[in-house]
Amino acid sequence: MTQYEPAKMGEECPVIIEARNVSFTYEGEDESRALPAVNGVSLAVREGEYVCLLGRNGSGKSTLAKLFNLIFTPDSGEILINGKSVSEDMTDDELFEIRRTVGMVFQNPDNQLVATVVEEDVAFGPENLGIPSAEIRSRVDEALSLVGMSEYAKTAPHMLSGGQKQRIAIAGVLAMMPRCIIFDEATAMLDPGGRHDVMEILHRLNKERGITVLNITHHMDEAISADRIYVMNEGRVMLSGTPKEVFRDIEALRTAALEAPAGTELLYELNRLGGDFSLPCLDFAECAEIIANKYKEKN
Amino acid sequence: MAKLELKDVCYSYSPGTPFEKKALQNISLSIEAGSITGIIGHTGSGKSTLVRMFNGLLTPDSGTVLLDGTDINADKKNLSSVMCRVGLVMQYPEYQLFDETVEKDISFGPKNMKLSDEEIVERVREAADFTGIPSEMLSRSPFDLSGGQKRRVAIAGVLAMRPEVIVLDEPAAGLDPMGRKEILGGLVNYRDRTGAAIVIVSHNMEDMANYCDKIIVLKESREAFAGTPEEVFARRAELEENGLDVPDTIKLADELRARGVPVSMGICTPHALAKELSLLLGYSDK
Amino acid sequence: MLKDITLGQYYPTESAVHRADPRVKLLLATVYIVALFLIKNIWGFVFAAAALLACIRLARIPISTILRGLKAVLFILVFTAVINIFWTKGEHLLVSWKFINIYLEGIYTAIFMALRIVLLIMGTGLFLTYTTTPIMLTNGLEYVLSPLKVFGVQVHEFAMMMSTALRFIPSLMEDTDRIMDAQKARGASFSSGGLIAKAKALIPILIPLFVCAFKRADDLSVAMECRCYRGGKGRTKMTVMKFRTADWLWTVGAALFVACILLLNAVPSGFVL
Repeated sequence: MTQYEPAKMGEECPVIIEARNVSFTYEGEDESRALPAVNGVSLAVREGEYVCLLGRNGSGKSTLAKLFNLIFTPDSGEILINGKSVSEDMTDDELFEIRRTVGMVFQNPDNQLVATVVEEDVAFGPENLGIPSAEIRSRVDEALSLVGMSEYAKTAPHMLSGGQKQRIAIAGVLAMMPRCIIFDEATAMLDPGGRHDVMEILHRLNKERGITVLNITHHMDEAISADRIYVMNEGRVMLSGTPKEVFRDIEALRTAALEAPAGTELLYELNRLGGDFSLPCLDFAECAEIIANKYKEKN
Repeated sequence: MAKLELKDVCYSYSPGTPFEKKALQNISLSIEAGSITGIIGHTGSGKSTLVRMFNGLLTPDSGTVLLDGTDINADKKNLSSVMCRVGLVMQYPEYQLFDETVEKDISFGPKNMKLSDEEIVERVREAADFTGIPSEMLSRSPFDLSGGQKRRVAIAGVLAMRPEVIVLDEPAAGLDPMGRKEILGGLVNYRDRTGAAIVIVSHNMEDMANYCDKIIVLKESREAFAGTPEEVFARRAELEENGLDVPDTIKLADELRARGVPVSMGICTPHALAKELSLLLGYSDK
Repeated sequence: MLKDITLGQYYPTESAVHRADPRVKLLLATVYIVALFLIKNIWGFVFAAAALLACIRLARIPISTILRGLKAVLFILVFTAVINIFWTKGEHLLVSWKFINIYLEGIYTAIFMALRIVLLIMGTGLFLTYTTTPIMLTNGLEYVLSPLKVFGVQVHEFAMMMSTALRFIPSLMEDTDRIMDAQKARGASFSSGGLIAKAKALIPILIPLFVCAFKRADDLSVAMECRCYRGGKGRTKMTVMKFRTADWLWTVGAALFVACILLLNAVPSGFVL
C-alpha cells in the first residue's frame, strides 16, 4: 500500500513526539562546563501539525533533536514517541519501530546519502525495513516524484546541488512512509533557492499529505507558517504558542538572540520612533496595509 | 589607483575537452582600499572561481589581476607573498583547522610568512582581538570548540597575516543572527583599523545591504551590473529573473509603494526604511 | 579539479555490459586478470586487447573515458617499465655501459608488464566500476563471499563498508581540494624544501582531511541508523540479481577467452616470456 492518508484533524489528535521535563548534560572532561544543554524542557507535537523549534546556535535545540532521534537518552525526564517512553533498555525492534515512524532530515546534505545512485539511496530505507522488491520500486518512484526529483533517479549524488541533495534525503525518508518528519536545521547549509525548495516540500508534505513536521531552525521566516512555535534559549523553552503569540514578544526574542520577521521588526522600530502599531505582523502585505492605512489617516 | 583590479579576466575549466566549462568571461572590476564590496550571483555564475582569482590560487587564461598596479601572476615566485597580502576565507572555513591549540593554528599564516616569534605572538593577539576570541580560548584545542567559535578561529588565522584585502565567501553561512553580526562586525572593525579592502560573496541580501558600499552582480560568468546597494536592489525584477533574492526591506518598500506610501526607491536597510517612514508618518525626532 | 579524475566512477548508460549480472562481471574480471597473467607472448596480448576493445564498444563507453582512468597509474607503469629495462637479465645483451646492462629480455618484459597493467586497469575498470554501480558491485560481492559467513566473516558489513567508501571518494576529493586551497591561501607551500619538509607540509592537509572524513562517517552513521539500518539482518534489495540467458553467454565467453589465450601461447612468436 503506497497511499499516504491525511491525518484526521480531530480534537484529540494523538501526540507523536513529546518531551516531559527533559534534561541532558554533555559529559565533558571540563567539570566547570557542566551546564545542562537541555534543562527541563517540555514540548509536544500532535499528529498533522507543523511545529517549529527556534533557537540560536547553542540554545539546546540540536541537543533536543538528538534526544528525539535517540542518539542520546535524557538524564532525567521522559521522551515519548507514539506514546511510548524511550529508554536505554528498549529492544532493537522497538527502536526500529520508532525510527520507522519518525524520520529525520539532517543539516549536511552530503553526509546523509549512502548510495552512489539517487534511486538506490532512496531505496536504502525500505530495504532496511525488509519491504519486498516490487514495493520498494514503487515507493522510490513515488517519493522521488513527491520531491520533484524523478528525472535524477539515475544520477550520482555528488553531481547535485545542496538543495537537490536535501530533496533526495527527504525522498529517502518518505520512502519509509513515516508519520512524522523532523527537519534538524535541514536548510542551514543551503542557498536561498535550495532553502525555498525544501520549505515548499515541507509545507506540501504537511498540508497535502498530513505528515507531521517538526522543523528545528534559526530562520524566523520558516516559522511564520507554523501551527505552533517553541523558542529555546539556554536549554529551556522560553516562549511557546502560535506565531502571532510568539512574535509579539520582541524583547524576549532579543534575549534569545533572535529577531522577529521583518514586518514585525519594522513595526517595532516605528513604535520606538513614535508609532503605536500593534504587534506582531507576520506578512509583508499585511504590514504594508497597516502602515499605509496609518499614512492615509495622517494625510 | 584601485587596490585590486581585474582586467578582462577569462577562465575555463577543462578547456578543449567535452567537459569544458567557461567560468569567467571578460570580467573587469576594481576594489578600492578601505571599501566593502559585495559580490552576488546565482549558483554557477562564477563566484567561487572569481574569488580564487583575487589571491592567485587560479591564474586567468587571459586578462590580468593587479594588486597595487602590479600583475600578481607575472612572477610565480611572488605568489606566496600575494597570498599573504590578499587573504581568502572560503565557505565553512572551520575545516582548515588542524593544529594543537587555537594559538598555534592562528599562527600558521604568520609562520609561513617567516615572521619573528615576537611578531607572531603579537599578530595572534591582534587577530584574536578582531574576531572576539577570548584569551582563555587560545590554549584550547580548536577541535573542542563550537561551530561558531571555530569559524572565528579560522578567520583569525587569515587576519593574522594582516592582509590588505580580505576576500570572504559566505563568511556568515550557517550562523544564527547574532553570530552573523559578530563575524561581520569584526570584519568592519578590521577595515576601520587597518584600511583594508573587504570583498564578501554572499547570498544573504540583508548583509549585503547593511554592510557593502558597492555590490557587483554576476550572471552566467559575466558581470551583469554593479552599483551601490540602493542602485542594485532597485533593479528587483532583473535580480529575481536571475534567481537572486532582494532584502526584506525592498519587499516591504514595494508593498508600501503599491499602497500609495511614497517610499524612495532603493531603500534597502531596515533602519533607513523606519527612518523614512517615521518622517512620512510625522513622528517627531526623539 | 581533482573530481575530474574518472578513476572508476559509474558511467550511466544502457548496454549489454551494464545489464549483466554483477556476479557474472565479478567472474569475468577475475578470469580476465588470471588470463592476463597466463599470457606468454605478444599474440595473447593482441587478442586480449581486441576482446577488451570489443567489450568497451559493447558497453557504449567512449575509450577516452576508460583511458583517463590510467592517468593515476602512469607513475607505476613508468616505474615498472624502468625497473624491468634496467634490472632484468637475459641472454641477448643490447646495451652495456659501465654497470648498466640492458637486455632484450628486459625490454620485452617491460613492454609485457606495461601491457598487462594497462589492460588490467582498463578491463577491471570496465567491468567493475564503469558499468556497475558500487551498490550492485557490493551486492555481487556479498553473494560471492556469502559462503564465508559460515566462518564468521561479516560479509554484509564488509560489502557495506566498500560501497560507502566508493560513494565518498568524490566527496573526500572535494574536501582535499578545499583544504589545500585554504592552506595555500595561508601561505603553505607543498613543493619546496627537502623530503622531511614536504612531509611536514602535509600535516595541515591530512589532519583536517581526517577530521572531515570522521565527521562524514559520524553524520552518515547517524543518518543510516535513523533509516533503520541494522546490518544485513532482514534486509531486502530493490534490484534483485537474476541470472539471465545473456549472463550464461558471458560465462561461456569467459571460458572461451581463457581457452584462446592458452592456445595462442603455443603460437610461435619472436619472444616468449
